[in-house]
Amino acid sequence: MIGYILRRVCAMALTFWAMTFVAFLIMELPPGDFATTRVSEVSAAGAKIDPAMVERLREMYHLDAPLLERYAVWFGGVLRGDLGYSLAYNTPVNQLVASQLPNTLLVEGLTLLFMYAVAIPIGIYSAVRQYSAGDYVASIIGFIGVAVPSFLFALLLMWVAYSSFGVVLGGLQSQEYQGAAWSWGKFSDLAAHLWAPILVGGAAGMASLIRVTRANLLDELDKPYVTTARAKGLPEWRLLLKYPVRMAMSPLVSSIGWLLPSLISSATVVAIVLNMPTLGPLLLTGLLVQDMFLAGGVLVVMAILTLIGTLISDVVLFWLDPRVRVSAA
Amino acid sequence: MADRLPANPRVITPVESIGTYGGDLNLALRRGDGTHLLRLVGYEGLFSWDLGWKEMLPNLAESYEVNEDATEYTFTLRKGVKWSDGSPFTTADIAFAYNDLLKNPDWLGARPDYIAVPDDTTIEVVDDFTYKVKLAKPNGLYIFQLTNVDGTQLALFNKAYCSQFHPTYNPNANADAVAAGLADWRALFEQKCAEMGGEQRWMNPERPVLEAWMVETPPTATAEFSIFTRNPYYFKVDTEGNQLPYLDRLNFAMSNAGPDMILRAMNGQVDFQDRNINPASQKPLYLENAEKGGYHLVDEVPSNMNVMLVMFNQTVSDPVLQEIFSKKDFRVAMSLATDRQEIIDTVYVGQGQFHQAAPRPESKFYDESLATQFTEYDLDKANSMLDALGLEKRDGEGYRLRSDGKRLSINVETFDTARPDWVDNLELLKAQWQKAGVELLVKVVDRNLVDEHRRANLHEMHVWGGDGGLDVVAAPHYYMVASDESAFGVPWYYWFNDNAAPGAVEPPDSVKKQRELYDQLVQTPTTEGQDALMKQILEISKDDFYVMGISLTGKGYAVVKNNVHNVPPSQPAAYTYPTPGPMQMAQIWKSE
Amino acid sequence: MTQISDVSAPKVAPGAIKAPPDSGETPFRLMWRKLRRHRLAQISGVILILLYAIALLADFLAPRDPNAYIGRFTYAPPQQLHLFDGVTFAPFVYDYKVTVDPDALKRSFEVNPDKKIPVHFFVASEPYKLLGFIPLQHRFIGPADPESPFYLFGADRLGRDMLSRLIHGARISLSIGLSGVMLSLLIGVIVGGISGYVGGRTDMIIQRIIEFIWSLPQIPLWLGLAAAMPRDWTSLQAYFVITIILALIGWTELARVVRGRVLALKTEDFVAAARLDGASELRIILRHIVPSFMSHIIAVATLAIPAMILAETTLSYLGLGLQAPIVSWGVLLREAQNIRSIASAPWLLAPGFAVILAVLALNFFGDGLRDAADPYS
Repeated sequence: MIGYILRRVCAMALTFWAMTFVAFLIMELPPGDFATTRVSEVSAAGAKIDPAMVERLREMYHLDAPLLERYAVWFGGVLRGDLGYSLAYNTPVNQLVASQLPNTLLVEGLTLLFMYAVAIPIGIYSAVRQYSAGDYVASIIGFIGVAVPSFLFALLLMWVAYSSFGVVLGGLQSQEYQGAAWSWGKFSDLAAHLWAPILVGGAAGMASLIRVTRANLLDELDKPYVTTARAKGLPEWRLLLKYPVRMAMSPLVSSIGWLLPSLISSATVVAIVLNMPTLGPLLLTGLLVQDMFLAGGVLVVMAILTLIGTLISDVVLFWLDPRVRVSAA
Repeated sequence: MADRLPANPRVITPVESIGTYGGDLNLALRRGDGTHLLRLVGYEGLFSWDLGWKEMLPNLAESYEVNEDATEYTFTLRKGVKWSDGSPFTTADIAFAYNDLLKNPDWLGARPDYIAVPDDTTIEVVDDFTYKVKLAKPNGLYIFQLTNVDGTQLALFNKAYCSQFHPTYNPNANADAVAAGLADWRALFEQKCAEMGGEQRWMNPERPVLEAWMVETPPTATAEFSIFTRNPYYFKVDTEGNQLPYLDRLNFAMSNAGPDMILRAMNGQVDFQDRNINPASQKPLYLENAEKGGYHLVDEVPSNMNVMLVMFNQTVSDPVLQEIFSKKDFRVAMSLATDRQEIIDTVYVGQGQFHQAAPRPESKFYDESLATQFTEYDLDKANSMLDALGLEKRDGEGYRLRSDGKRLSINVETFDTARPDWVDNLELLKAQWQKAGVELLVKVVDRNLVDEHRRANLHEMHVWGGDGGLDVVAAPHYYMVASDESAFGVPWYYWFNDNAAPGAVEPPDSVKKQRELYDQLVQTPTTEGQDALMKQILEISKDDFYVMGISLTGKGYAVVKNNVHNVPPSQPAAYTYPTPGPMQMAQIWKSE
Repeated sequence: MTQISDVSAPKVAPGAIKAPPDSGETPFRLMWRKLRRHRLAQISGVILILLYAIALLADFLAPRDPNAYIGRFTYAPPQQLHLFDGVTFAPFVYDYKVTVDPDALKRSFEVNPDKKIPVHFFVASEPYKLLGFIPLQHRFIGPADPESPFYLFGADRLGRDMLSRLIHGARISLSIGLSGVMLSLLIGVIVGGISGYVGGRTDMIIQRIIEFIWSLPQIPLWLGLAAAMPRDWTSLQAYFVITIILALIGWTELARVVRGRVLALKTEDFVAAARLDGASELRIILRHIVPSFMSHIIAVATLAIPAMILAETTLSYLGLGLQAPIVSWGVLLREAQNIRSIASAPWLLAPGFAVILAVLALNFFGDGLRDAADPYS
C-alpha cells in the first residue's frame, strides 16, 4: 500500500510539472499580452492612453523576455509557494487565491455532498425498482437537471427569485455581514446565499451520478452471488448494502477525483452569472485581461486539487475493491 | 467645522433643494471598473464643468490668468483646502505631480493631453497657493484640458504621503518595493498612489484624498461590497453654508457584470446609477417595474453622435482594395446603398435619425449638410456609381469583380460583448450591400483582437461608436486623423507622430491640411478663434467623407430611486465630461 | 431491424465456457429483442429519429430562411395556427396589431382578429437544394404571401422566425454531439482497453496522460484555443475544431471507465478460462471483454452526447463556440440569455427546451440500450 502511494506521488510530481508548462503555453496562445489588454481596457473606458506607457509596462513586467525564461522564473516561484503577482489587481496571487479558496471549497464541497446525498439513494432505488414509476420519475428529474444548461438554469432561477419573491440572488453574503464575526445571523445569511449555487451546480452533475450508480448496481444485482445470497434468505436491504452496493461504488469512487476540479472549471460560468466570490471568476478575469500570473496561479491551484483528488480516489478504490488490490500488488 | 473648510469653499447650488445629512447611497459596481468610481467620486480637478457642459468653473483652483499668446498660465489655489488626513493642499502637491511624476519618464501613468510632450512644460512655484506653468508652444486649450476628466491627474497626489514611495525623496524606495515582493519602486508606487484612471487608485484606504468620500473597504477582486465614507475635510458647501457631502456613505455591491446588477436595480436596491445597468434593450423592463422597485428613469444626452460609424481603411495593405476605398465615389455609393430606415426600424425600434459622422444637433458645430449628406437610400444611383468606378463586372452570384478579377468582398471584425447592436447592424448591412454587389464578411471576435488589428492596420473595414458628437474639439478623430482610432488611416496618424516610424504612411494633402489647422487651433487662445478653425476642419471632412454614419445615438437613461433628490431630469453623458461627476454627487441626498 | 440474419452475425466462440447464455442469438440481437420491451427507450428512439430527420430536412421544414429579418416584427410573440376556417380546411394565422412605444423603445403586439393570413402547405419558395443535391422549390409550410408575418414560435430581436432558426439549429447541435462522441468513443475504447488489459508500465503512462488531460481545466483550454483560432477560418472549419476540442476532453472519461472495467474483469473466471483455452489476446479482448462491458460503455457514451451538446452551448455562451451567422442551439441561447428575453420574450428560450428534449431522449434511449445489452439478464 505504501509503495503504491509512493509510486503515485512520484508520477504526480511529473504530471504537475507538465501541467504547469501546458497551462503556461495555453495562456500564451491568445495574441497580445497584459500591456496591450490594459491599453484596450483604458481606451474602452473612453480614456486616451500614451503608447509609451505600453512599453513602460512591458519593460517593468519583463513581458518582452523569451517565453522559456518567463516560464522558468514563474515556475521557480511556484515551487517556492509563490504564485507571483497579479498585474491586473496589483496584489500577490497568493493573497487572492487564499481569500477565494475557502469559499470555493465550501461551495463545491457542499455541492458534491448534495449531489452524492441525493443521487446515490435515488440511484439505488432506481436499480432495485427497475422500470417502476419511481424509477422513471427519478430518471426524468435527474435528466432534466443535466439537460438544462447551467447558466440558463441560474438565470431562470434569478429571474423567478426576483419576479416572484423580490429577492436578488448572488454572492455569498449580505453587506452587513462583510467582515463581521461569526454569529447565528451571519450563518443563516450565508445559508440563504448558498442554496442557489449548490442547487444549480448539483443539478448538472446529479443525473450522471444517478445513472452510474443505477447502472453499476444493476450489473451487480444480476450476478450469481446475489442470487445465492438471496436464496440463503439474507434480508433484502442487508444483502444490497453488504455486497452489490459496495461493488457498484467502485467506479463511482474513481469519479471523485475528477469531479471536484471539473466542478470548479464548469462552475466558472455559473459563478459569474451568480456573482460568487470563488476561484472561477478570478480565473476568467485573469484569462480575459491576460494577467498571466493570476490565471496561471489559479490554474496551479486547480491542478493541485485535481492531483490530490485523483490520489484520494485511487487509494479509496484500492481499499474498496479487492480485485484492484490484487492486480496492483 | 470652520477648521475643516477652506477660507473660500466652493459653493454648490443644489439642483433642487437643500438636503439633510445622513444615509447611505447604494450602487452596483462592476469589478475592475475604476472609471465608474472616477466619474462618481474622483472628478476633483483644478476646474470642473458646470452641469450643462457649457462653463468651466474653478474647483480646487480659485482663479487663473493667462498671457497674450497662451504660453504662460498663473494659477491661484483655494486657501485652506485640506486632504482627508487634515494636511493642507498646496502648490507643493501640484509641483510633485508635475516634476516627479508626469515629467518623470520612469513613472508608469498616462500623460494627459495638457502635458503630451513633458519637456515642453515647466512649473514655477510662487508661494503655497500660487504657481505658474510655462509652455514651450502656445496652448489655448490648456484650461479646457484641465477641466476635462484628465485634468484630475494633477490634483491627485498628496506629496507628503506619496513621496515616501518615490526614489527622489526616499533612497530606499526600490529596496522597499523589492521587500514587498515587487519589481521596483514604480510597482509599489502604483499600488499606493495609483493614477486617476484604473481601479487601483481606490485600493489603498491609507492614501489621503480630496474627494467627498474616502475608501473604507476597497473594491478588490475578492470583496463582495466596497464601502466609501464621508471625508470630513471636503472643501465644498451648499448655498446655506452646510458642508458637503450630505450622504454618509456609498455602498457598492460588487459584480462581474452579471444579471445581478440589473436585477438589483429593478428591485430597488440601487439608488442612482447609469453605468453597466442601462443597455437600451433593458429600458422597457425598467419602465414596467418602476413602481414595484420605487424608482424612475432620468435622461442622459450622449456626446456620442452615431450608433455605428463605418470606416473603410484607405491604407489597407491589399493594393486593389486600397485603390477602391480611396475613391470618394465608392464611399458615397456605399452610403447610398445603405438603407438606414431599415436598420433604425429593425435594430433601434424605429428610434433614430439619419446621421453621418458629424457633430450632434445640440452642438454649436452642427452642420446639417455634413450630418445628412448621402444618407438617402438610392440603390440605383449606388449601383451606377459603382459601375462607373470600373466595378461593373459581376460573378455568378451577382457580386462585383475587382480589377484583378477577384470578388469585391470586405472583411470586418467586431465583437458582441459591449455592443450587440453592431453585430445586428452588420448583418443588415451585409444583406443591403449584397444588392449593390458588394460582399461583406462579418466575423465576431474578441474585442482585444479588433483593437490589435486596427492598431496594426490589419483591418479592411472598421466599425465603432461615434465619439465627438458634443466634445467636437476634444475628440475630433472621426473628422480628421487625430489618433489611432481614426481607423480610415491609422498609418497616417503614425506618420504625423514620426514620419520615419515603421508602418507610417504619408497622408494625402487634405489630411495634412486638417492637421495643420488643428495644430493652429491648439495654439489659439480664444474660444472664438478655435471654433472658426474647427469649422474649417469639419468642412474638409465634409468634402472628403472619410467616415460613414448610420443614425444619431438616442438618449440614454439612469435609474434613480424616488427618495433620492437633486438628480436633474437630463444631463450630458460623456467621458471628458465624466457623467455624473459635474452634477456634484456631494449634493445628492436621500429622504426616508 | 429485429430480424438480423444469422449469416451476418458473428459466430459465438466455441471455447467460451461461461460466456453469455448461448441461445443461438448474438449479443446484439439479444439487445434489440430486449430493447423492444423498453417502452421509454422506444419512445425516445422515435423522438430521436424525428429530431435527426428534422435536422436533415431543415431546408424543407423551416418556413423561412433562418437569417431573414423583418424589422417591423422584432420580438413578435408566437402566433397560433388555425387549420380550419369555419368548417373548411384553410389554414391561417391572425395578423398582429403593432404599436410602438417610442419612450420605452418597445413594440407591443396584439392579435388582430380582423385580418387572417392564409397559410399553405407545400408553399412555393426560392429554389434550394435539399441535403445539398435534391432541387426543390417548395417548403413544407408557409404564408401564402412571403412578406406576411408567420411566427409560430415567435420572432427574435431582428424579427427572424424562431421556428426556422430552431430547425436549422438542430442540424448543427445534434451533429456536433454525435461526431464528437464517435471520435471520443473510438479513442477512449482503444486507449482505455489497452491500458487496462496490458497493465504494467503501459497502463501507468496512459493513466498519467489521462490525468494530465483532466487536470487541464476546460474553460481556459477553450478560451486559449478559441482566441488562437485564425481569423480567416470559415464556420465549417470552426465547427470541426470545436468537435475535436469536445472529443479531446470527452475521450478520457470513456477510457478511464473502460480501463476500470477491464481491470476488474481480467480476473473473472471466463476470461481466465478463455486464455487457458488458447484464445489469442486480441480475441479475448474483442470476444469476451468488450461485450461484457458494452453496457457500461453505452451508458457512458450516451451520457456523453448530451454533455457535448451542452458543452457547445456553454462555449457559445462564453462567446467562444460557434458564432452567428451559424445557427446552433447554443448560438440561439446566447442571444436569449439576458433578463429582457427571459422576462418579456420567453419564446426565445425555445432552444433550451430543444436541448432538454434531445438530451432526455438520448439519455433514455441510451438507458434502454444499456439494459438491453446486459448479457447476464
